Amino acid sequence: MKIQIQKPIRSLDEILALAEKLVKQHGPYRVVLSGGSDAVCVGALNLAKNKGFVKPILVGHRRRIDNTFDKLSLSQDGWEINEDKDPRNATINCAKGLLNGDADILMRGKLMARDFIKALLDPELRLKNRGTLWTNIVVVDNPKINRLLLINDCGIIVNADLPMRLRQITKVIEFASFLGIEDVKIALLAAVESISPGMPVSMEEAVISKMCERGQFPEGVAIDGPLSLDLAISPKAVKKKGFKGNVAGNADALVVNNLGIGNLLFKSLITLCGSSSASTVVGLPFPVIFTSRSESPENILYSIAMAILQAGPKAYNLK
Amino acid sequence: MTLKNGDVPLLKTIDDIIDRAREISYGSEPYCLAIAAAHDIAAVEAAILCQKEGIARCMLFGKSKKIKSLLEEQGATPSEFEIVSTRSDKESADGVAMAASEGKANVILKGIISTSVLLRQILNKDYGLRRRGLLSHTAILSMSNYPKLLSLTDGGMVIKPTFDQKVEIIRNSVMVSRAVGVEVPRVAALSPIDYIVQAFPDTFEAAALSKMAERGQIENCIVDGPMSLDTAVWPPAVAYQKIKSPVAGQADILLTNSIEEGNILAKSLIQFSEAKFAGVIVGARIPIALVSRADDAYNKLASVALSVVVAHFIRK
Repeated sequence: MKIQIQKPIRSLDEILALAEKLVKQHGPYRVVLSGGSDAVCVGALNLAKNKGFVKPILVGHRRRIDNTFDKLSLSQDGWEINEDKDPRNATINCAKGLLNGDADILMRGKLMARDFIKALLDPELRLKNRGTLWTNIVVVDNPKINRLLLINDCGIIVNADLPMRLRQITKVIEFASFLGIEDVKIALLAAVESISPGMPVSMEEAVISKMCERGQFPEGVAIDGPLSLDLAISPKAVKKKGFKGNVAGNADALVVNNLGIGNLLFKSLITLCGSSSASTVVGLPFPVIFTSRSESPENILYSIAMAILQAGPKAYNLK
Repeated sequence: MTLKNGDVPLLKTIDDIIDRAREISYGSEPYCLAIAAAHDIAAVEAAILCQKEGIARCMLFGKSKKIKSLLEEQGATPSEFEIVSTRSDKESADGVAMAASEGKANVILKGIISTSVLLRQILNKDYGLRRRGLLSHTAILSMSNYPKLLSLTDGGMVIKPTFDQKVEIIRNSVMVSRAVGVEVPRVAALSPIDYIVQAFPDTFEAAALSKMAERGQIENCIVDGPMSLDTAVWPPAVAYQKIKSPVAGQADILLTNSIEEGNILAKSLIQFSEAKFAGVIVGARIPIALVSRADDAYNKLASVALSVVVAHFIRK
């Protein structure tokens, strides 16, 4: 079952409020944390548990998990803890549990993003075939902007070529629509707005914009690039440069062509720019919470809330 | 070139850079700014501000009629500026290069002229402005949630630096940092993660760059990498990662792997964190200031001021 969001969500606090509503109707969601000794994730789950959002399940190295609880001075009451010392195995077992309906949401804890994704690619799980694309979407809430900004991809796809970017954009459009943002405006980021063969990215982005102009994307969607970041989001910069375009100054989503850029953009926003964020991986049959270690537990709570929205009303909870 | 850091004061904000430039230009002979193709509102604004604020005297090369009318539009008196009439962009570029080579101009500002045309003339052997190294761009940012100036390189010049170019870019940026008083700048070679992994060749280069600095092959700085942005500038991330590094949490210079990375990071900090910034191209015998049409007056002034501070440092 999917929840229907009518009006565009404009802040992460709205996501929190919607999650609260779902939890009121359906009870707490079962979140399974692979790499269960991660202190920040456990801290975040504790916040969510106290709000009645989640029933946490930790999988990992038992002694290290105990240490984490000691360090945070938390009691293990109400926490399900399963020992599995091998992080790869643990992740695979977590995924199996999700597929069996033993949990609702998967969360990455103390293991590297690459290893986490690699484990999920295990053929036994049959999570990924040729047609599926897994990509990371971060939803950013910054006090300077009166709407949510989607950034793709900050953590999974290392280098995207043109076909890959088209698939990513499709995922972004879907996710924006899930957040109630229908006529999404997508900026393809680059260093400058001019197209030059010396910067191959700018050529690709010009092609994608043209495809959108020709109606090769869903109706209502606007895509423009190459755009520099200031032109994408700042109406002031657009005015000063006298720039014309249907995305410039008002972008809802920023799509980058490599992880280096996405990662820097995301990390600058949550460290030096005072933003909040919620982060996920889309393309899997269950919601995935995919956070960065530079986040605080309070910030991760937003990712948990967003995953609850993605999970939607669950049948088992209706019993 | 060996540079002595002697009596360079430590500058902590962009305001400090502007004050310092004023101080340098105040003494016996004011610094002179040569503007290539100055018949543009951004360039004329910068010129007026520089003279008003006592940052530099200005020579404006370009279409003189247009320059005069723009000056008047902005409420300035054209006779207070040295205007040199030129017929083409190439002639403007030649003009500023000649002025620089004769020692009449100390810094160059790019007006409404393509960077490649300007650089071709500046790098022309005849003018003797060329050095052995690479030209690269450094942006210096100042923002409320970082306790010192933060340099970013290269988000404006080198599109996809090779390893050797990264070495040159670090050297150039270290020079800029030293000019603003950071005696041994801490350089973070950025990458998405702090570990060396095969999927990211940039992490190999970052590791090699750190070792080179350790061996003294890149002087006057401490380089560490691969390092993610949060580790480089965000102390809570350092505590969590338990990384031991003289750079982590307190980087002076951030080295990025492509012009997109550098540019988008700088703009993110400017747009979302209201960072003030100044930018300069170094690597030639004379610094070149770049201002964009979208920059506000303050940032235009700041970029010229930074160039003056760098020119003063090179001269010593």
